[in-house]
Amino acid sequence: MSEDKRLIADLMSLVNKENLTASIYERMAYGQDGIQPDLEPENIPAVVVKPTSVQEVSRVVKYANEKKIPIYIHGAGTAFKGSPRPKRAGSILLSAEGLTAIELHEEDMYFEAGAGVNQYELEKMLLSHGYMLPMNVGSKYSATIGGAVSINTIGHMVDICLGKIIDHVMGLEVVLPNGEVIETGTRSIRRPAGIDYTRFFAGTEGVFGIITKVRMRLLPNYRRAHVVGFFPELTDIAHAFMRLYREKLPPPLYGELLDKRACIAPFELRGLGEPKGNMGLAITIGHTQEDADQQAEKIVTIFKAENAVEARVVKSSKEQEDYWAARDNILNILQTPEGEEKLLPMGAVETSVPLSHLADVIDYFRTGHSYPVLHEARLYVYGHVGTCDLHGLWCTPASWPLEKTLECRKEALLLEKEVNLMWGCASGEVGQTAMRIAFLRERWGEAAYMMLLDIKKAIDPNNILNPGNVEGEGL
Amino acid sequence: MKKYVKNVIPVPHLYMRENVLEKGNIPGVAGDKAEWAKNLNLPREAEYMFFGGCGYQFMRYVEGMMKAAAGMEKVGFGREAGIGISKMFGKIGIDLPSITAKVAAAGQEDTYTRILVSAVRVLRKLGLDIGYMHEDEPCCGSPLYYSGFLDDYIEHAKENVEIFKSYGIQKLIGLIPACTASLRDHYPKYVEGYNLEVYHFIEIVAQRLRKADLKPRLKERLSVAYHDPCQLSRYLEIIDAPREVLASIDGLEL
Amino acid sequence: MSPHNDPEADLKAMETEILNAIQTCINCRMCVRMCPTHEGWVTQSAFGRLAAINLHLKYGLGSEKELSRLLFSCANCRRCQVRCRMLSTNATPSDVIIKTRQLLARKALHKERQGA
Repeated sequence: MSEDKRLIADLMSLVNKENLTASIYERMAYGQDGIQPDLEPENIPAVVVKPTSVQEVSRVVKYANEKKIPIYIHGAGTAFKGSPRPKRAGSILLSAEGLTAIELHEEDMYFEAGAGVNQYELEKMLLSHGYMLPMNVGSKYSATIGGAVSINTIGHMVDICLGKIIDHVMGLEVVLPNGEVIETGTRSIRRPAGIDYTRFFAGTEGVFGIITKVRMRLLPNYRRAHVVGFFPELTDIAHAFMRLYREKLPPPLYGELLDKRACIAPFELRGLGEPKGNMGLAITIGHTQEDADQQAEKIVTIFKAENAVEARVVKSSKEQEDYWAARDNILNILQTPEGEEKLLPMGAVETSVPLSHLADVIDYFRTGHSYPVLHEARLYVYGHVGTCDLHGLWCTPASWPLEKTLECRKEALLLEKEVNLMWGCASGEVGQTAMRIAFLRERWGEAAYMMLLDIKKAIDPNNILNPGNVEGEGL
Repeated sequence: MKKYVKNVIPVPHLYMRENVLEKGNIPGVAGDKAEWAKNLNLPREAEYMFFGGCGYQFMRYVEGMMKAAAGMEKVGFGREAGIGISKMFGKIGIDLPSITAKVAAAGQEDTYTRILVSAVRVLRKLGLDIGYMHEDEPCCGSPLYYSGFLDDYIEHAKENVEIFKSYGIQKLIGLIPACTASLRDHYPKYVEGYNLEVYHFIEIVAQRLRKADLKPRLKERLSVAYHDPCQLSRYLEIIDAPREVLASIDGLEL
Repeated sequence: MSPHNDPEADLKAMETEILNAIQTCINCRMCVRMCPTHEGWVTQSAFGRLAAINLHLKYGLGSEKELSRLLFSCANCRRCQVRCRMLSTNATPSDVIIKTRQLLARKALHKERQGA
């Protein structure tokens, strides 16, 4: 215990005292990431620091590097493949949520945001100036831009429509594991060709450095049109999007899929009645409303050609919001009516598959695989079918013994690995650390993995940044 | 209340509990109850019993106490010390809240009890048969519920239900959302056989205005923004009724 | 004051009810920034309060006094509960916080009656 007290005393001299807490409840709550089971008491961080300047971050990291103290870096701590969870005792939980400055530079077409800026706040701010944030995750009300860039995710959006987030990042401010602060990238809308240090940190999940500031291009907002369709079979929706691309139509900004069973609870919550089938959604963008509408009409035609019992352009903004929310707020499906047994979301698969195999993967989720516990659990299929990204969520009754529910999670990870290996793909939305490292090694081979560990060792010789993540430790 | 309870319940809540259980209202004021209704001729028997609650009736006392407490804090007395002093005076028969209120409220017209009077007027104008329990109206007890004193709350609720029975009440119209939520949503859980119909003032008004021939009207045009109160919108889940009523008022821009 | 036949069983039942409700919380943290008591630290939110209750009840971590301070700094506005219902798993966080206040009070009263 006295080690921890020493740590806290030392840190108090490195950061503002309002930016530090040793309260047991704060430490517990910050450490508890979004997956079951509870954070192991021995891994509760020793202290939480929330620096408000890059200098403070630098001082803390320098200190931790000297003393070889592990640091776990959080935006909001909402990544759900195990990366935010502390895996070593006596760690410093470093939250980027104190880095919240935003600067607009319209004359050069970029903005800069502290890594801790909330995505939803950022989106609202950009919209108010006629720009848009080229990403949209379900957790945007909690998640940060730093986290998004660190994982290179755009959530629901279709990658080939506007690009992934990294394509919009012009530069970063980063604190290296030795505490040095560096700036990467450019202030020009044409980014460096060749070696650009930005790419060493954007998308590398906090393994090589701590992103403290992001510079991103300003993207003017588009006009949108919304399409909804209801289909007898899930695979009909897959076929619809396969046809869309076959016909060389421009990619929509969103293409979503929600199986009929998963529609029921969110529809009821929003007064949308009973779902007429499995739901397919699309949101098109255009520079003019006419352009967006035309694309939407084309999608309606395609939906109908692929057996949709209903397909139409949604005009009313309330309906647009409701259908979108029904798909977005997938956690609504876990709201069981009184008296019914509670479900836990134990097995989650997320995979971005080759276009021509969209329907095959759906079938594989449902009937093709041979994992026994998964077949016993309740499956919901949903996802960003427009960007070829499919989700399977296997929910287990709360009454199941813990070992069985953990088995369900293990099987889901194995199934995800299997699908990715069979079809030569990978997850497109959440990072590889820490629960997917076994997959990473198989998918891209041991030689590449050794290279990753070598680079990690070179940049972070004391292994202080998120230790355990690149090793694939934990659950 | 000895040391274990003081460890987990803050002292001001303990104070509120005593006030509710011993004096029947949140600020612990003796007497003065139902003063606001004395000229309204409200019968003790009617189809709908109006439930005024502690809030508007005693807000001037609460305000006085808050002002006094703030003053004491300025000279270094914490809230606990303030409550301690108040209780000490109470033991020798001096009702400090009443004194601070009168001092704090001297020369001010009580805007809060005016709301109660207006509410009754509105309900009567809409043709409702309104009664009132006057000094027999109990505190709904919800401060006990929120402060953690569930057992006290349940016992208090059961006593209240007996009072309602003795008055032969079948329908209640509450004005304060917290009281109304308590009477409508919690009492049925804890008191067996409780089957009163409980309405909030604004939902009854909205109901009646839809059918009535009356058109509410303002003397001068007024532009307002409506802010949903927590208890009304998230506990009672009454969101549309206030907007309906406001939209029906001629001269009001919502 | 208390009409319980078996106060220990009542306390256990209350604790189980609270822990079951918390199990529904998926730690999505969407209730954090919109809490009126939130000033930058995560315990100033429903998620933080629920995480604290969970680990206190399950592992005995933290003190009752500190937990109670967290619980009583909640304004009971229920914003978190509505948001959790619309966007997430409907863990009824506001009710859980009130119930835990009631649990702590009952526990304390029980201790006092036992003259401990």
